[in-house]
Amino acid sequence: MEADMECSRYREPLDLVPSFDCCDPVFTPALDHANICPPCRERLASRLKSEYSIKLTMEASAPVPESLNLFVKNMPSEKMSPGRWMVRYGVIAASILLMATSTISSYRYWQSYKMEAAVEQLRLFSVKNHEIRNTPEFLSDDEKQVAQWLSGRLNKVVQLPKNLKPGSVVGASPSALGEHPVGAVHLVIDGNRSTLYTFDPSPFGVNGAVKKEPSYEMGHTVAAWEEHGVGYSLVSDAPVESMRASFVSGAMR
Amino acid sequence: MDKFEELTVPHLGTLYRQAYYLAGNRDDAEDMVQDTYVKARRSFHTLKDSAKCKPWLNSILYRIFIDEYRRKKHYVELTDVPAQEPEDDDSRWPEGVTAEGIKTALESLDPKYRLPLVAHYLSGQSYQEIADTMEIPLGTVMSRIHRAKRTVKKEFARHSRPSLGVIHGGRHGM
Repeated sequence: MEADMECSRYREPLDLVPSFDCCDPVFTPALDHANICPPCRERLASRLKSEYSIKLTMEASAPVPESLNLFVKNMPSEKMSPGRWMVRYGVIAASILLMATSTISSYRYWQSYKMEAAVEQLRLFSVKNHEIRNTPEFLSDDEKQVAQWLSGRLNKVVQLPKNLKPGSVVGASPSALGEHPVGAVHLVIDGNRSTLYTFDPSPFGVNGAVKKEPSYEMGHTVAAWEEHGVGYSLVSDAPVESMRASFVSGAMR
Repeated sequence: MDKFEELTVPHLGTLYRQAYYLAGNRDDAEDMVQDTYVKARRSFHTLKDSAKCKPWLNSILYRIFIDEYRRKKHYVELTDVPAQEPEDDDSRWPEGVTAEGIKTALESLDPKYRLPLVAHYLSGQSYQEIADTMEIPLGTVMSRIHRAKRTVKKEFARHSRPSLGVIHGGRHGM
């Protein structure tokens, strides 16, 4: 009687033990029971055998029709017939692209505006300095000596610009544009006192943007330009035409 | 062969065999599988893990089967309601059952019992995977399969003893 109760307790799990694949641990107690109960073991073995045969019969009895094979293999791909989701993604991608483009162009505009303002400030600093300091600390009309002296004072290599015609240098002195130390070369253009400032454009945030043709500004003629990564600003009491003439041909175009 | 074909064509046979034993005839089975592939192709971008392609295709097929039965006014109960269990007996499972016999026996089952049993025999999925695919609890899957097996076994026994001329019930209600 007790054995019958045990058997009926495991009847359902034993009926569910799969005839294929590995057994789930959930069936372990039922299988343990079958191991010690010959009737249940025999019943399980018989069922597994029959069900396995049923499974094999089912698998072998329904071959895939050729028409279905052809249908699946000739289905149009999504690329050929874009669905709604492709249109949706297209719209999203276009919106992102538009936003990115507008952000980039706004950024570029802002950058160029910022640089232009910085160059303008450099020009104003140059004019102020030119007005304040009018005597060179080192006197020499030799450009090489002037460059050497400035290099020593500023503790970095100073080169005079190639775009400016040689022959009018009178001396040099250390100076500052804003809070950044620069070199000042004193020279004469068409008999008028002039100052050339040489500086590193990086601290001013104007790399590659320094380019201003000679123009009249606050009672002086001012120009600014860049040569091989070095920035120059030139302030003179001479008229615009005279400063233009002091540049080598085509330098300020 | 594109990515979709590469992943789904290997499961065509399994899907068709399940469809055949669910629908009970080749034409409906072919339609169901065609629908499955059309829907799968359309929503292929939602398949994040290619290793889960088989259960994903199975779930589409099962949904189509359920929808088709609903459309034909066959009521498919998705939640289990207490039903009278078919009486268990100690009779043995018959041997040498033919494909036609299996089909007939499966047809005697209500779709909600036929579906997990066919999936159990043909999908190559474990009980847990069937439960996940059908989105029903594991216990429900196991009890439905158990009940389906009992019914099918009785159907086999009934058809293997035609000479007795005894009809043991017919289609089981729910």
